[in-house]
Amino acid sequence: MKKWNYVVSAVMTILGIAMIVMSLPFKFFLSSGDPGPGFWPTLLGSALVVCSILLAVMSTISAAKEEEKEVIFSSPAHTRVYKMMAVAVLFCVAMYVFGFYIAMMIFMPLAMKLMGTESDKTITITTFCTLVAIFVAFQIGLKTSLPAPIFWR
Amino acid sequence: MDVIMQALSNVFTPLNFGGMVFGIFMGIIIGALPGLSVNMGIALLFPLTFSFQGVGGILMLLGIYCGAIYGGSISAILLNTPGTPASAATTLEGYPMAVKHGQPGRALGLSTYASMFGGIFSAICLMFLAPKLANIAVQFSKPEYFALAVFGISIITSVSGKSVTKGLMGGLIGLFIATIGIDSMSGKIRFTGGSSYLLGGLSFIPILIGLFAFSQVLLTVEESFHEQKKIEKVKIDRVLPSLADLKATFISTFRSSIIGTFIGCVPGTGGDIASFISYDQSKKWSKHKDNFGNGEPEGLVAPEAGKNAVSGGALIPMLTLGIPGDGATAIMLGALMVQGMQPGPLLFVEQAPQVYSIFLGLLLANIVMGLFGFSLIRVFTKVMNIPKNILVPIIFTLTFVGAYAYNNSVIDVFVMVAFGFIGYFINKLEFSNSAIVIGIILGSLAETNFRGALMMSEGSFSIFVTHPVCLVFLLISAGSLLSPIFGPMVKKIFERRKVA
Repeated sequence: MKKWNYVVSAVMTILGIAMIVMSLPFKFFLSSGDPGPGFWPTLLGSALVVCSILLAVMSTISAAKEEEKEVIFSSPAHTRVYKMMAVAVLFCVAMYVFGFYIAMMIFMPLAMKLMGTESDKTITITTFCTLVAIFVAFQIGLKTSLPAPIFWR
Repeated sequence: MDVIMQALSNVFTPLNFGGMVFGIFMGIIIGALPGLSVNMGIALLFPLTFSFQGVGGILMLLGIYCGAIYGGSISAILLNTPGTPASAATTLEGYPMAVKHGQPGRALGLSTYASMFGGIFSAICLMFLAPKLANIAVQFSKPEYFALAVFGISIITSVSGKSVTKGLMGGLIGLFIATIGIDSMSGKIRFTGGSSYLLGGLSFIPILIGLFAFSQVLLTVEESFHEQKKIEKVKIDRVLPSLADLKATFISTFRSSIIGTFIGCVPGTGGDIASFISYDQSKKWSKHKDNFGNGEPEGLVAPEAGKNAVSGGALIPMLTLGIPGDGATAIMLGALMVQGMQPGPLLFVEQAPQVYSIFLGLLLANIVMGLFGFSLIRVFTKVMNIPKNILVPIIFTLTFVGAYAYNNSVIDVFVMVAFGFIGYFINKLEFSNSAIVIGIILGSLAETNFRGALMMSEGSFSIFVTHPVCLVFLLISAGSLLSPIFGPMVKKIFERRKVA
């Protein structure tokens, strides 16, 4: 965790500085002396930088304790998560292009396969039932029109 | 009286009442499924609330809230796996009673009775205490409101889990996200990068679904990788508790309900703390201390009553002061704001019927929850056997639909997925998703009143010290924020002195 704390600290410091820089175009104080639109975000950015430094200092002080905590991002379980993330991004893009229902018919089987479902029958039935349930609940019940294919819009 | 009649007619509208019952049913199912949390349930079903007029959506969320807190105990008792963290203490007596003594029906019955009792007790407390607190709070002005917002933000130290510094960082990011869009005081457009989508600020709902539902499902995908699913077949006999059991456990249930309601009132606490304290107190006061850990009924009802009593307690600061008690009430606070209700003392003046509808709704939700528990427990126990490989893709799909349904915007879906990814990684790095959400919710309140207070005092910061209520809240907040840093130091000094 120690290594990751330093990474977090660095990223958050950059983010804090970015917040301060982005606030520069806005007035810190108005001509009347009242705080302007840049006052609060600058304050937040500065506090974030202070917290980031504090995190780095605390990680150094309690280095042994932090090193005991293990953060793993590369196990087979994580690989499955990353694949699921990729499928989710694919779903978003497919939803934009092909509309919700077609994208869902691609996403559900892929996600179920990733989760270890082997039976095609289970996959088909679950996908179909979910699709019908969503159509009935959202499209008919709540009158929410889910995204249509790009060529139908 | 008119207000109460109006509230009754609000609650008993077929759509509103039906929505609440549906919420309770779904809440129990979500709570009973290990890996799905109360927060996730509320976030996931939040978009459905937009189809309700007025307070109906809030009643549904109340149903999910109560149902999910209770539902966590079903898997805690039958599988020794708490459905929610608040049910962890229930496993200590519930599982031995169900498995070792072969009395799952008795364990589930006592759990249902105690949950219902705790919930009803806290709802009654809410009805009596909240208006009184609101009467005091109605005299607050901008400095007090700013101090209240800071006080609300200071609960981040309690919800931030292992690292308070990271919790604070999350809160600051949340506060910054709240600044995106048109500044309500100067009319300036801030941090939108020219995007018209961001003019009204980043939508709260997709962020909520991303952080609480999508990221949690990703965690489930990871955790279920090595999981071997076994189908549990439990034969449940009589569920209604016997008169002897009710008599033997009444004092413990009553005591725990008081403890739970009180703990719920304290922002930053929650069901998990209430259930363990209630269990501990029950053991201390019990005549059967030796039987604890062996399926003792008094030990079973204590955490159940305690954790369910938190629901009413947590709504007291949320409704009267606009301060969320925990992650779940933070989401509810956001839900109220989305529905056009600004929690705080003025809510009791401006929208009294809606407030009383919430009171009545909570009371009813707990009664219906109990009835569901006694009558449908066999159905809920079957739900625990739904395999993750089927459940996860369905929840994923619902997160997409939920994010889209709020604004009919595909960009919202992208925002939700982005925050889901962020939520997953920051969870691994010991950040708190609740801290970010609390920051987003209280950001506008904090900034507007901070700047407003400085305008009132013509730029003098002394306004925050000269207003006594404001000063007290700021001091408590400072104590709360600094306690994780100085607390261990003070403890060490005392320990050294003891040794010396």
